[in-house]
Order: sequence, then C-alpha cells, then structure tokens
Amino acid sequence: MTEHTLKQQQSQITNKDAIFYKNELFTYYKSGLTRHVFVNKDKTKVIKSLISDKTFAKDYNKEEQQIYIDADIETKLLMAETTLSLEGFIEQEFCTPLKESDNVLTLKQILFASSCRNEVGWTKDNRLVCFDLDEFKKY
Amino acid sequence: MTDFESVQKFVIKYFDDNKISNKDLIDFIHNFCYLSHQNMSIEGNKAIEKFFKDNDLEDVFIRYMKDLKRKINNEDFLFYSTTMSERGLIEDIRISLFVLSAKRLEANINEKVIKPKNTPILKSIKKVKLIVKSDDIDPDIEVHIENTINSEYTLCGTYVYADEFADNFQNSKDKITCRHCLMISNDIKTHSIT
Repeated sequence: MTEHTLKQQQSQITNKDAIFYKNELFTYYKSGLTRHVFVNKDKTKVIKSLISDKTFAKDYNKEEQQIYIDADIETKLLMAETTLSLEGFIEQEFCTPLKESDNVLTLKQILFASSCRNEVGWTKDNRLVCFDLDEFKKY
Repeated sequence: MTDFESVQKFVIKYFDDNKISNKDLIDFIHNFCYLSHQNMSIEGNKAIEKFFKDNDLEDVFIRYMKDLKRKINNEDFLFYSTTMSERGLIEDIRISLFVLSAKRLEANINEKVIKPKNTPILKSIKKVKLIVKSDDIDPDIEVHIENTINSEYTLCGTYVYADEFADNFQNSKDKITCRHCLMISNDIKTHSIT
C-alpha cells in the first residue's frame, strides 16, 4: 500500500469512530491539530491516526517514530514508548496527562513539562514522559 | 494547573517546609530578585545555592546568570545558553517569591490582630487559708485572701486580707462580680481548704 493510500485511509477516521486494532477496541480519546487519538479499554495503549490526507502534508506519525528511534537510551526514558504500525498508526503507551492527575510536580518536572509544551503525562510505572515527541524539549 | 501555578505552589511549600525565617527570606529575595550587588548577604547567597541544589537546578541557574550578565553588559551574543522554558521557570520562581512574601506579610498582620493580650496565669496556689465564717461577714459574700494568690496575679475585685494566722482579717462586704476573680476564688476553695 502506498503512503498516500495509508494517509487516505486514516483521514477517513473521525472522532465519532472506534477502531478495532490488533483484537482490541480503541475508542476516541482526544484530538490534536494533526492527529486523532484513540485509547483501548484498559487505558494502557493509544493509537494516533492522521487527520489530513493531503499528499504534501507531513506524515507526523512517521516523524514521531523517527524521533523515538533516533533518541538514545537515556532520552527514551523521558519518552512514551512509540512504534509505527504497518497501517501507518502510531502505537504508544498510555500516559495520564498532567491535567488529569493529582501528582505534585517538582521544579525539575515542571521544567521538563514546559520544555515539551506540557505534552507530558504519567506512565503506569510513575514516570513523567513526553507523549507528543515532536514537541520533546523543543522549548 | 498552569506552569506558574505549580511553580508558585512548589515555592511556597518549599519555604514553609524548610522553615525559612522571614529574615532569611528577605535576604533571599534581595539577592535573587533584586540582584542588588551592594547589599548582597552571604546567608542569602547560601540559601539560593541550597534552593537550586535541592531542586537539582544548579546548572540552569548558573547558565541563567551567565546570560543575564551578558545582557546587562550589552555583550553581543547570538544564542542564549538557557532555553526558553528555563528562563521562564526562573522568572516564575522570582514572581512566586513575591507572592510568598506577600502571603507572609498578610499572615503577620492577621496574627497581630488576632493575638490576645498576655494575661498572667495563676500557676499554683501553695498556701491557702480560707476565712472562717463569722458574724461580721455576710454569708453571701465571696471572699479572697490576698496572700494565697499567686504574685503574678492581681484580683480585680474586692478581697479580704488575712495574715498567716488568719486571726486578723479585714473583710469587705462588697460582692465580687468579676467572673475572672470568682473563678480564682472557686479554684482556691476546691483545691485546698484548711
């Protein structure tokens, strides 16, 4: 399947859909400017699908995957585990966003969060990680 | 919660948890917020060092100061050595310190308003001689004996004076109406009667 066809397929998914992926049902969770996010029932995994199907549009899923691959082991600990599926979806571990958690942050964590434009969350093992990797320590 | 709110919450908690006195806080603010090099205190600098060390942000602060120095000296430089978020954090800490000082000022004012006057407390009554009822004393009158009352305390009502032998006493027929004095009188009666 060509890259464009994959994009086209994904762009047909709206926020009213649910995705049956790898024998699991993913329901709509949130949307950013470029992607919809779907979460599984036990909130352990999310998948991200592209919104735009335009050929010239950047493939944000591919870019995110590349950022994760290029990062060294220490940096990876500050990122949510990310893989790119054959269907072109980003498969990522679920992180509870800051706004939804009551955890008190230290100054170091506040600094990390603001350097990632607050696109960070808590993993199951209580690590603060960035889930939107193209924002990782950009600011 | 926004970044600034979290920083503010953290700074206030840090200074309260570490029991940093108002004086030390002033030193901290003088050195950190006003950057007044003339009156920089060593204690203030130590407190700043400790604060950033405790929070693992020493290098951020050093780079921030380096940038600031270059800026003040109008040096030409292409890049900051701190990131935007690091500079933002230091600024947030700075504003949070002013919030903290305002909070302490408010607490001080409230404390002064609420704080009651120091009233001496009747600590102990060692020696009590109650006056034996005599025909001269009206049975309804409550009496106090001067030498039984703690020296720190002064009764505001009328009292009956008796010496150690309780043979001579002067009494008053005025009734004590002050609740405070009545309380002491009752205390004497209940605790030690000879």
